Amino acid sequence: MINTTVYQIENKDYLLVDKIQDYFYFSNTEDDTDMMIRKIKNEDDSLFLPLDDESEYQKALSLFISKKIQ
Amino acid sequence: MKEYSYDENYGKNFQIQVPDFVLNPDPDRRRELSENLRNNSISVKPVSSNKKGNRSVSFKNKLKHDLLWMGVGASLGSVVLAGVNYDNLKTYFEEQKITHEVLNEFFAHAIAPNRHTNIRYINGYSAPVTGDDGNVTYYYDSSAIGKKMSNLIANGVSEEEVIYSAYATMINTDSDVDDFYAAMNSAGLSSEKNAWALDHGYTDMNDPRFEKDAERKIVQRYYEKAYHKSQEMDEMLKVEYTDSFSEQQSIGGK
Repeated sequence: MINTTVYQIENKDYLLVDKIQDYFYFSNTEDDTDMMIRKIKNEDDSLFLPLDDESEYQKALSLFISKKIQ
Repeated sequence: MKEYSYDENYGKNFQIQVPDFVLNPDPDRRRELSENLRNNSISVKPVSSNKKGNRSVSFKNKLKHDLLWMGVGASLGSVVLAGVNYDNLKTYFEEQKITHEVLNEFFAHAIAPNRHTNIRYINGYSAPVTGDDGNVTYYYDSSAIGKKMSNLIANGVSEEEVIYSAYATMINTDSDVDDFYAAMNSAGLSSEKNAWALDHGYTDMNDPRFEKDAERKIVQRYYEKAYHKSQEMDEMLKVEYTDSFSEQQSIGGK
């Protein structure tokens, strides 16, 4: 087993699947297919911000894939 | 009950539990999940959160999450994959799929038949016992599981692979850890918590290096086996072809 962090966001529990730079990759603990990427500013993980646009979304996914296949 | 046999079954009978769309790409399903992820990530307002603390996740579940995320990412194609080595990505999927399948098979043959639901009785009716997290709790025949583990090791499967398979599929809650070490004891392996890991140069059983090493051995054994199968098949075809050729020569000669 590995230990990972759980965050409660809008009354739902999300598993932190990974954290790369300021990006957080979440999966709902009750529903694997409910996923989201958020970012933080100034290392404050009490407020999760949306990604700016499609380009940032693709960048965040690219970072995730690159890390996994290293 | 089906006997668990390294030669005949192990690594052959797969029960795939990886989300379907990853292994059997369904363009509609992928599109739907990609759209959901995009909408959850971009078109939303900032949200505050509470860190609820740590949760233990089995290696098997972690693998599933990784595959799901990779599947969605890969489905976006060239834009996201620009700069990503495609061969490495293919290898990643292939190896994770093999690992997941082998774990599923280990679970089906070694764990599931020896895992029993804890039952309580209320007013004469039985009901499963649930833990704080709402999950059903189990008890294990750790002796039988240990026997399966030692059989596999005796048949040439590496200790890393066997122990990783048991650790990844047997433990869902912290209370299962005791059963895991009882199975280790029954298999004739170090039964003190983390002792085997420490003896083999890992920090503990959750050391990511252990996960990597075990997965590498799973994949290596899988390919070796596939190679032997392919050689056997080549030999069989060669014999059939030679026999058939000799027969034709013989007929032609008459």
